[in-house]
Amino acid sequence: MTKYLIFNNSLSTGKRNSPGTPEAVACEIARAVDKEAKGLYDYVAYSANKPEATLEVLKELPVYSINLTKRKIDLWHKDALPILDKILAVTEAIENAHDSITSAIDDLQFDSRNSEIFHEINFAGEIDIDRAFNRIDNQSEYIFASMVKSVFGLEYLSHAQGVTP
Amino acid sequence: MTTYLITHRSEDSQLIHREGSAEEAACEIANQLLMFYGSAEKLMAIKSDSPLATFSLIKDDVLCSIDVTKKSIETWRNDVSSIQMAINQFHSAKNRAESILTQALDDLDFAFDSSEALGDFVPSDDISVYGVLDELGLSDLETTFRRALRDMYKFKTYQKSVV
Repeated sequence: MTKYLIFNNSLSTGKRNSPGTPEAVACEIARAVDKEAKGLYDYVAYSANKPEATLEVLKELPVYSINLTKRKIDLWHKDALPILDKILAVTEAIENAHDSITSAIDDLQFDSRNSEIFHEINFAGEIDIDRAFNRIDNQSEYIFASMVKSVFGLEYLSHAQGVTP
Repeated sequence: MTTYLITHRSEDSQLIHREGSAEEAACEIANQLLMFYGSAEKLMAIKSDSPLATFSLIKDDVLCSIDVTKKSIETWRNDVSSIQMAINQFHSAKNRAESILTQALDDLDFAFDSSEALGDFVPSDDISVYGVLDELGLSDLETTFRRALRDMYKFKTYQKSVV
């Protein structure tokens, strides 16, 4: 089992983990848990016993730590990633549905504005898109994040941790 | 303005309205407002001041009456059909969205179910697609549309007399 420290990162730092490495998997897990982090370079991870980790800690405290084994890495690839793909597909389907319905309403509104008898009728006012779509909010993303956090043992490190006030 | 009484066309009737005639338009309008499950060709429009109209009223055959003018027929042919088409497209968008969402959710259920470590969750238990999109208010929209048409064509239904 190897412990990895995960740090905040950005594209401009030039730091990145090679795809397919345990470090990259650690970052993927952190991204799946943290709904704010979407970018490929939002995190960078180092094995805790490597000098890079020590150097990085001197500059900035890590955000997460995780213990990974080969079994956990396999589990991530075989179980979790396919689920994550489908969750993103549901989110995309919801967004597409919202867009296509909004576009259909816009067309209807356009036709009615140009109509002699319907120009005073606000068809768009009859349609409550938000009420309908609020009810199909994709909760699975949050539940998945919580499951991943627990199954993979991702630990959030408070910024105060290890820091002498 | 002409008032037409609308009746069912009998199966053996040879009277077919001329294409583009006011009677043909009256049947199309009535078909829409009656929500008649059939083609407008199965209806017949009779001028209200004709002897046949009186006869139909006595026979209790009249389904509804509508008032049309040359202008209101033009409006029907130009405005109403485009609004109806836009409403139909809205229906299609809603049905398509429902179908795509259901498929995506089924795939997600399957992905969770296939997982040994994360398989305890059934997303479709928490996310319901069926019925939710009905809350968009499509029926309110159609009611508004029909109400505008009813007012414009002074649509009146005739109830069968109870003996």
